[in-house]
Amino acid sequence: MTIELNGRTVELSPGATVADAVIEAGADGDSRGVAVAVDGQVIRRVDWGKTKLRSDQSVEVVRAVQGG
Amino acid sequence: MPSKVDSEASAAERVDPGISRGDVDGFQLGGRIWGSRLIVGTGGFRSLEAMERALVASGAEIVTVALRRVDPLARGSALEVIDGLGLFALPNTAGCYTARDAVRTAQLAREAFETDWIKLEVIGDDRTLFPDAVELLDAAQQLIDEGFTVLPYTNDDPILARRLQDAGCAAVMPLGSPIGSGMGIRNPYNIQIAGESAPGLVAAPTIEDARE
Repeated sequence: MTIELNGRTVELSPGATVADAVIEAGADGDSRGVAVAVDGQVIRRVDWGKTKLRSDQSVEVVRAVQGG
Repeated sequence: MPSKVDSEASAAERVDPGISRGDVDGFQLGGRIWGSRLIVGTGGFRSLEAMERALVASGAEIVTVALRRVDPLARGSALEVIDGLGLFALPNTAGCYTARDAVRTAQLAREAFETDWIKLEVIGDDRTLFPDAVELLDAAQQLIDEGFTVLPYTNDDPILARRLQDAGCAAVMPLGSPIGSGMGIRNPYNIQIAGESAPGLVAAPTIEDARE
């Protein structure tokens, strides 16, 4: 299954969830300051593990950084 | 959506709704009392250690942070430093050029930081970094409708400041001069009018932004 993850095309196993995408992106999913949007819709942290991804979806994984 | 920030506030006390601004020794913002009027940004530091020393020295309680795509190679965490100091991390929408992007970034920030406070930044170009007034007001109205506590970075335009206050912003943050210019307050009269013309000054204080 191919998705777009933070602007990169990546291959995930069929049935992969948002939580898998967070790990693939290199984020520590347990730490505060991380958030995810799938096709522009924010996915709540409690739903990461049960939200399955589909091919060709666009996933953004962001975290807190210095700035502003 | 109900606010989550109240349950985790460590840097401020909740304000009794019956208390007016003159009754307390502190800075009232967003329904809370703060001991410092200084809000510190986290950009531009050479290291997290330097940022930590500056935050401690500043005495500030509110610290702004941004959201960016995860960089797997990044070392350290600004948020861990801020949390470790017991300060309030105020997320911003830095880097957004449209209301749509700013609203989505604010929604991500609410999830990431577990707060509905947002320093709203919608800039018009990357040369001046001046706010885009039209997109800014649009974004502010949308976010207020979604229950956010909105603190917009604005131009030094008293009319726009009033429109933002009327929309329900918790504060307005007019720029003193272009970001990074180091020119101080270039238009003090406008800043003064923005403060004086706000009938809801207690509910919507004017915070000067981008002075240096």
